[in-house]
Amino acid sequence: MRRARVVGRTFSGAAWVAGALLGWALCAGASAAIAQVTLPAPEPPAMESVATTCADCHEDRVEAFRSSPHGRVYQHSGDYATASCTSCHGDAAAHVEAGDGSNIVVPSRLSAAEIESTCMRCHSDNAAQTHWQGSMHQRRGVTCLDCHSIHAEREQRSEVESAMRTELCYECHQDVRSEMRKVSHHPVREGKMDCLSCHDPHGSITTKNLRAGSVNELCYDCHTEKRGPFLWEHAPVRENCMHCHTPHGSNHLKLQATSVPFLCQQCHANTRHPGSLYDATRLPTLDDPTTGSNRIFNRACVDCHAAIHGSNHPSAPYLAH
Amino acid sequence: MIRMRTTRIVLGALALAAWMVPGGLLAEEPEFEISLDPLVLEGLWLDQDTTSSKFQEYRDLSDGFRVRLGLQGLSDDFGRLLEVRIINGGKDDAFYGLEYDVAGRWSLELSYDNIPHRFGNDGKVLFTRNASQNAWEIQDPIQAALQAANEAQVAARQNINFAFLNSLIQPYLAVADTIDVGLQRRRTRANLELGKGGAASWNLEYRHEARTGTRNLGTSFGFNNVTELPEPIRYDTTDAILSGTWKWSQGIATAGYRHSRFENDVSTLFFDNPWRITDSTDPSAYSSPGFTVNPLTGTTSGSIGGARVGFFDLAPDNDMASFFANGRFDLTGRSWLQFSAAWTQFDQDDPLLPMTLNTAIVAPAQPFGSANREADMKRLAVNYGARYDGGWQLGVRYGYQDYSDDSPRYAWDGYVRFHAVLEEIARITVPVSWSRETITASLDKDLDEWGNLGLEIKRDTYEREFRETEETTEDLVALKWDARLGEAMVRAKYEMGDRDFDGAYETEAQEASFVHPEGINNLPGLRKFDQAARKSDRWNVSVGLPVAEVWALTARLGGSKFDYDESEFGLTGDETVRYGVDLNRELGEGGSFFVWVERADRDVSQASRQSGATPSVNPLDNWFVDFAEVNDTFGIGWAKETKQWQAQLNGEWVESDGEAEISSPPGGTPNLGFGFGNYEDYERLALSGKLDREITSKIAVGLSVLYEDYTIDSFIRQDLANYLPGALLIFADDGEYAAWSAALRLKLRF
Repeated sequence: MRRARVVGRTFSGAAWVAGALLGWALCAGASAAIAQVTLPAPEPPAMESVATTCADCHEDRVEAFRSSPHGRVYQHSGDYATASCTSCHGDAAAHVEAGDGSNIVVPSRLSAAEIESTCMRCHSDNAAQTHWQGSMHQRRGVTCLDCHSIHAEREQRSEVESAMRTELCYECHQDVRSEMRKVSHHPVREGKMDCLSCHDPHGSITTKNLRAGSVNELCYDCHTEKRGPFLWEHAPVRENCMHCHTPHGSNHLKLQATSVPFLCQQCHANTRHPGSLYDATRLPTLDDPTTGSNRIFNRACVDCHAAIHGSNHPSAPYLAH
Repeated sequence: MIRMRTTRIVLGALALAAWMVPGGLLAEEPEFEISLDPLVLEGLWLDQDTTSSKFQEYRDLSDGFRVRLGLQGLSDDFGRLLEVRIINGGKDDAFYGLEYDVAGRWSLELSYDNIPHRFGNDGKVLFTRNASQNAWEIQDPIQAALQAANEAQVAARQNINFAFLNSLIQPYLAVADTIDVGLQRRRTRANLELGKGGAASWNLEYRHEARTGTRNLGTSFGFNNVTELPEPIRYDTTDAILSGTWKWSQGIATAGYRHSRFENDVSTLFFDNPWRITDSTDPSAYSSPGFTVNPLTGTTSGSIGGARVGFFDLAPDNDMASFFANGRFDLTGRSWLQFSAAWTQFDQDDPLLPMTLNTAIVAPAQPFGSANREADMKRLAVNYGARYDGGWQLGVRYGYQDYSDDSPRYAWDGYVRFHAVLEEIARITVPVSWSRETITASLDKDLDEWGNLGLEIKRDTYEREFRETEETTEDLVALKWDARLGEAMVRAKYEMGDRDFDGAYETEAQEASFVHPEGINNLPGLRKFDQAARKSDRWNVSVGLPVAEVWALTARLGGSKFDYDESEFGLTGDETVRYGVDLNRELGEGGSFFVWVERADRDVSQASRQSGATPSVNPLDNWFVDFAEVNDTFGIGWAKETKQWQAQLNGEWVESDGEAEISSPPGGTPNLGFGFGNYEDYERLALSGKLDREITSKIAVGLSVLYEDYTIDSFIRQDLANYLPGALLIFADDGEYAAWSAALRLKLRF
């Protein structure tokens, strides 16, 4: 990239950060004018009354739990019944008495249904869980604990950093991990997208847990210029992008399922050039470029039929402009 | 302009968000505890041996500096959380994010994300872009010289072929400008949620994306004159989504509205014809430039005619509006009903271009002012599920989608082919519509120590307008088993499917865009694979188990097979088998090791028949292609973390080995077929290492190194050049590279 643009980008990024911090600092005083709800100060011993005993033996866990999302909820609400140690591990009296690993619920050792029941006591009314029951993950015994870690300070496994979220999905979906390594791919391994950009692991109304009602609606989120509708349509495009593309990764240009021109020839066996064979004899070589046919090299059919997703040009019934 | 507007939007939203923070971070109560963990300042260095864009296709590792920031603030009552994140700040792939959460009340998320997409570097264009960026122009003297040279060749009754044209154009290519083809997405997002955790909450989301740059576009003046150009991309997409969520003891429901607007600042692209400075037309102009003299008879054929300028209708502005609702009703403690419904309207009404700019053609008047396109999608899905005693779970799903294009059908008396020839063949637009209905029933049984067994049956029905089939129906049956057998985790699934279509396969569908059908020119034996009868099998099995107490092993085997058994032509088969192994090991405290390997073996077969002016009936004209693609991927990694050190080493290797076997019976046309062994062969090796050392509890230094080596041998890019028979190409470099990238960093914590 040109040096001036590098400097420009660095400056614009720094300006963004500076603007954010300045805006925050300057406006904080003005915000004091907004009426505030006086929050009840948590009773000092609320967390400790539960966790002190637990911390005697499990200090690291309790300490990490304090600043976890569950720990924050518990300490903010001051409600003993919510998100404390015992709300997941059960009554600890006998466990404390015994002083060993017995008489305590260890969620990771429970059945899938029992784990789900534990978490859903509080989380069943999350919008995110609307379609969990009956979802493919639920039916296949994937539990909350397979993806989420309760004690980690920042829920490392449920993840803020997309690279880690993707690695989590790859633990079961190894085939997708390999697909993502192919030469034509969405920017998942670069960290600009992750599995959750397209899929909802908690379930959705579609078979593959898509975050939209159909494949095309999902693709249109980023590829808005393909939405149309167009004057001249390419029918399979309007029905399903996956007729031609394979979203996880491909050996071919533009995530095509098969390379052009052969991809097009799977549907177009017309007279003249669409149905003609383009084989090795039509490929250019350094010694003899005249052997090359513009219907097989570079982008083949799409070099002429470039408006392959649809066109508004009155003279483009063949999607050439 | 787009970029400035985006920046102003971001800063404005941020200021608004900061003003909305009741209490703020400097107010009296409650106090905020801020931690900066981490602030990372990194210096980058890159050394790459080629100009290929592939190494930085979606990222920015160029020389310079970048910032990573993780700032968290937590109020002492644990009720307010602030998070600020910066990733790769200052780079083309920078991400900036802010979240502010007031427990049980509201939350705000802001983000600004940059995503580059580089298509190729150092391409060549004979053209220069005008100030408005909507035209690629060649200097008139060049056009005039090239046209004159062709005219002279014709006058001298000499052939115009690749050798001749190449000799003309090379001197101009030698001094042509170079261009890096690529685009940048800049995404701004703001999300405000009110009433969090309560019985009713509202969510307002705003998204804006500016996409600027270029990408490869195939423009063409005819069969012998592909003129690949960088398409100017100046896209703007804005989305606003308002939704509400309501919860009650027996369920949850969400409803909302979304509006999305796409705008293209460059809706029409004009481009000069390298070979013509004046307009002309003749019946063969679509094959220009080409001219041959038959040495035996002296007759000539071909043309050097055509338009001096072409124009391409780029993506039109469009709108999408959607009302949606979804939710769940808990019918009893053990049964539920889920639903999802949406009505979405798509419309597009860009002004229509004229039929042609070729002044030598008297084209029909353009009777329509604008596109006037409108379609809608109706969607409804309902799921019923219940659990019964004995570990049974039942599920019944119904899904319905209806895409209906209600646009008026526009007809013209003809069209101008490749800007060169008026074809007086009346054409009419075809508003494609379809609907889909799926019914699924599933039954799962908990077998206690034997895991969970599940059966699912599904019927998937499509109805289509203006296609070859009116209705296709696919029946699928799947059996799955998931079990923890002792220490081992076993998962298996098998699915089989059978699809067919009702009634006849109507080849007449191809004539839908002709006002006066001219006759079928597609092979009667062709079956388009999206509608063709087919049998399918999908299966996979994986076993995960500990080995020798310290290793975790997962082995898997799977595959899919699609057999288009009633298709004489078109796609006839697609089969994949994949298998792999993962091995992980914990290496004491803070240490881990993993290695994995996978192979995927895919075979695709298709058939066709070569025809002249009418569909061939000679089976000797058949041709067949079998593609074999073998993909191997391998990964290995080691990590170790102590109080003062963090180290990580990773290696990855990806290989694709593809082959196309092509055959045709002798005696017909094409008379044998010749395959090729470079059906997308590539290898990529990536090695990386990271080392960080804590100097004090607040300061650490670190070093990262990345090495990648990528080679590719692909038939579609084999021996490409800027000018090849019938094609003037950008030929930007997205090919092989070997690259080193290093980063030195200072990491701070406060």
